Amino acid sequence: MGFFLLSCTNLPYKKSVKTLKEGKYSQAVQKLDAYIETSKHPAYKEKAKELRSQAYYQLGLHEYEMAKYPEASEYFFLANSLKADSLLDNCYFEISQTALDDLDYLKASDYLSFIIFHLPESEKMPEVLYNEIIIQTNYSKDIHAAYATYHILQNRFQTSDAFSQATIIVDSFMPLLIDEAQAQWDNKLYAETLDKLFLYLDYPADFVKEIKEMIGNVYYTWAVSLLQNSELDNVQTYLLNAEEYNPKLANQVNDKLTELASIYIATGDNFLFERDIDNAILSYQKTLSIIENYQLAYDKIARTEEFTRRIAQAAQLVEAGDVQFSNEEYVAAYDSYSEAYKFDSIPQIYDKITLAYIWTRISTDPEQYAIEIVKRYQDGIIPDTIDDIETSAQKNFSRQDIRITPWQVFRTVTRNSYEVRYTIVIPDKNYFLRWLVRLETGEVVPLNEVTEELLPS
Amino acid sequence: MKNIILIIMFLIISLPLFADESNEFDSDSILQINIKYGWDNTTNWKNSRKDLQENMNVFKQWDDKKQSHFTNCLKSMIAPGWGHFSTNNFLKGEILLGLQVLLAGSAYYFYDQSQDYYDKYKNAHQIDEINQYYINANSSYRTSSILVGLWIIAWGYTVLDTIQATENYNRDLWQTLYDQYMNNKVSVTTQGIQIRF
Repeated sequence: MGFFLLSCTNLPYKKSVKTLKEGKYSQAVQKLDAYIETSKHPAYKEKAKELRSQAYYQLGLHEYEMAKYPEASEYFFLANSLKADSLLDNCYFEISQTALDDLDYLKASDYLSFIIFHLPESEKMPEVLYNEIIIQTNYSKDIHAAYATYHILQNRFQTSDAFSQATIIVDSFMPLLIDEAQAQWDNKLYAETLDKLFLYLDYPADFVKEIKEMIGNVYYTWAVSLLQNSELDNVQTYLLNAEEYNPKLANQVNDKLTELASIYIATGDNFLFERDIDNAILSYQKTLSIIENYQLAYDKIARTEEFTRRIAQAAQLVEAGDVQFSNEEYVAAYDSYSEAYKFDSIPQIYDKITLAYIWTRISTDPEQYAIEIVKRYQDGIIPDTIDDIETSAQKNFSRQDIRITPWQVFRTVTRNSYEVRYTIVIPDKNYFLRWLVRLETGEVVPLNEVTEELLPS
Repeated sequence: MKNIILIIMFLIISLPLFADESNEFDSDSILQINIKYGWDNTTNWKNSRKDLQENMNVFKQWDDKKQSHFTNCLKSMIAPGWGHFSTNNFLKGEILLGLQVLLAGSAYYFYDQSQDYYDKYKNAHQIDEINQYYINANSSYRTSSILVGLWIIAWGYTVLDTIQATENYNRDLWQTLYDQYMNNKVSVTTQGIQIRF
């Protein structure tokens, strides 16, 4: 009884296996389907699926041997195994071949696409790709897709017959692809044109030379265009690429490289003028990568370095002068600034010289300096006016009637401010001329009405 | 293999190049006739294959580690509960073993008692004693026979239940191995979660 029960364990499974072993594959599939549907035994359920796959494979194999490819393909598909795949691709290929013969390109392409996408290890792949190229060329009229497919064929099956045959097809539309690139080039879409041309450059036929020359020309026109727009970053690379791909452009490329070097020299000069030393040297150095041993660039760099040295010296002297100035050693500061100005003649140092001079005068003889300021005021307008008054007075009056008190200087309560006076007394009018002079700023302010009327500030 | 992956990637990228219209050259379209098992698209088709391949890996382990119904039944025939102990069904094994020991022991006890009464019956001289010993001997013997019968039923049940116990053990084993396999595919490390395909 026990052994009877024992033999009844998983009976449907065992029956299915027995049916399979007897070669009754259709029945085995049905039984296994039923078992998989109802079984609660997870392990045997999975094993049953594998056995079902074997049964389907055998059914497919039977149909395949009778060249019934559509039926066989259905069984192999349902077998869903690597083993079945090895024949499924053949079935689909045969079906697509028949469809191609019937000019049913869409159906053919469906089956070929399935092989390409889902059965990539198919030994029929070269023929599949070749047929796909035929469809893409003749039916879809999509030569780009055909070329992409051809690329795969070339990369993977270069020695195959299918590749040789496909080359003949691609030969026929290659000029069209090149013309398309030419059209993009005409529209100044340089990057896109080059992308295409480099893709086509992989094409292993006579067009290689033509494509290479075209790449060179595109690079050249692109570089020239950038040069005209002063976008210099990639110009040299593109020019060199142009020469590499089209050696006939060597002379033109050299001319443009010289032009580029000149532009970099000019740019460097501008940087130098703006005292941007680093960028100036960088700009000069760029020319050296364009023209080897370019003497002008070396000279410019040497000059810039000398200039840098002088600026540094001037800066040191200015720094020393500043220290002296803050220590109220105005004469020494004046000398330091003057020396610095010899190295670097910039307005900032000149201003410091002026300031040091002012303070030198303030510290040594402020009264005399105050008179000098008044005399120098507006290019000597004050002494000139006084001369005129005196001359006029001498014409109209005798010498005894005229009394002149020349320049007098008085200290004021304000620091470094002085009052400068000049008095002319004549019978009809007295000129008590008074100015306030601020030594630090050189400012001259009339202090009374007479002075203001006579010499407006 | 790397080359193939690159080609597939290239094909996927250049997919739009292959079609003039959106649904043209759809490889799934040829699967319309193969809707069996829910494989109406290649994704389901491939996933199903992948699942089966993984389950077959588990099945190989399971097949090596699964217990034989026959062996366990034999064990239970030889020693009650042994089959259950083998399938890690310890409580049931102990109960069945205890029950059978109890029944067999009791049967032996009553059989021994009946033999005692029988000896006394043979040696008795008084009619009352003769009758009483005879009744007692018969009673003990009957009890012993009943207990032997029960023991045989318990033994049979134990052997038969071993089949189910083995079946349960094998199912649990499948689940354990399957879980282990799936857990090994996903491992959490200090560098993050890693999934093996």
